[in-house]
Amino acid sequence: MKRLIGLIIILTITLGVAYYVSQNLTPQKSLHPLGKFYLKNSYFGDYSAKSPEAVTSIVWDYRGLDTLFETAVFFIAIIGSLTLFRLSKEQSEEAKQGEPKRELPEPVCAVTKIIVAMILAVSASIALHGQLTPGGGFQGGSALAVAPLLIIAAYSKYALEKNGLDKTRAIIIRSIGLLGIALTALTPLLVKGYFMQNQPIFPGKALGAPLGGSLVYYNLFEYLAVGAGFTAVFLLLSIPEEKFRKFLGVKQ
Amino acid sequence: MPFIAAFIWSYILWLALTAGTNGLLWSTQELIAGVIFSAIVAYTTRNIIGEKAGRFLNPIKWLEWIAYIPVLFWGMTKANFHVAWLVITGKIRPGIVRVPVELENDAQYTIMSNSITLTPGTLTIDACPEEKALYVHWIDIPPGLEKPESSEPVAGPFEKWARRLGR
Repeated sequence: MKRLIGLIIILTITLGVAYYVSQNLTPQKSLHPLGKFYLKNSYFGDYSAKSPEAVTSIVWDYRGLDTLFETAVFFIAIIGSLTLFRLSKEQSEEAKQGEPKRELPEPVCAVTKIIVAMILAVSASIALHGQLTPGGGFQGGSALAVAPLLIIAAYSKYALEKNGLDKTRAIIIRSIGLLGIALTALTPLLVKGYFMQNQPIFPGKALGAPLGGSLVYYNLFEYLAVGAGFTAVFLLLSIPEEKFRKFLGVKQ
Repeated sequence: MPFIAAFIWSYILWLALTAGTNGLLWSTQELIAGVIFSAIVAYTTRNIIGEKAGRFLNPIKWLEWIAYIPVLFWGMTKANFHVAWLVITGKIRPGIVRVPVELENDAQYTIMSNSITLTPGTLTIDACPEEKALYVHWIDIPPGLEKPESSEPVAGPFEKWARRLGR
């Protein structure tokens, strides 16, 4: 009986609050002029970014410089953590010594195998459709980084390194991505455009598929850079504590 | 073989994600891009997905999976009502039981323990292939079933299906 009274009180309060809030919510009737401008111009109009996805047009075209510096902040954070974990050549060799082994119960590892392939496909799809649907380089890259993280959790980091994805390679891929972003931003200067210009320098379509001009390149390189940058940090964070104690000469 | 299995798996996913680009079907560009990126994904994951992944390409197995869906959903529905009843009455007898199972490989253990976890009220905590047992947290242990002899009282028909599907 006591439970029932409690249940009724909770239900009444929840429904009452929901009713009160719904009565006092007024939907916004007009759009901001800036919003109208973006909606009109992101695909049609004189300032088109040739992308039907207005958010991506804003992020990488209209407000491209803003995004460029945001990306820079993120990558400085990654460089900072890489610097904190800096190891000498012998030490990083030693950090790689170890056998891949199952660290979680068998069903988890079996599911990880299937999920990893799935995550890679999904992340590529998120990143490469950034100019068409919600998503983009950063989102895709974050999804991509989940795949190595799952392998580290299920099979230990040595499994990743045995398969050829060690810290150095991850940093190389990350650098390729960053270089790609910089080159895409600088390309318009070659044809007397301005920095990070999109249209009409980059082709809006290739083989009939809408690319959104430079947006697809930014998304692709950001995808690689974010995914590989996260992976490098995860690989460093998963070095066992005993090894770090040894490197630093800390006694138990 | 692992390459082909991973390729088909990621290509199916790609198709599912990009459906509707040409009416309800796929535009040619998406199909081509899917082949390229599925190949990349399959190449990078060929060592992860395992040697035995090829056995899941057998169409008979797919039919068996489809046949398993109603079984699993019926088990989940029954368990949902049971747990709802337990929530209302508040009378539970929770505990961890050791369930002996007759399974051979990791795929069978995976299907079995995930099916148990998906049904409300039971949760697989650990799978121990070396002692041929699962450890399951059970929200309402019926009296006398603290040490079950088989998986039937905990998981119903799931063990039979897991043995067939994971073969």
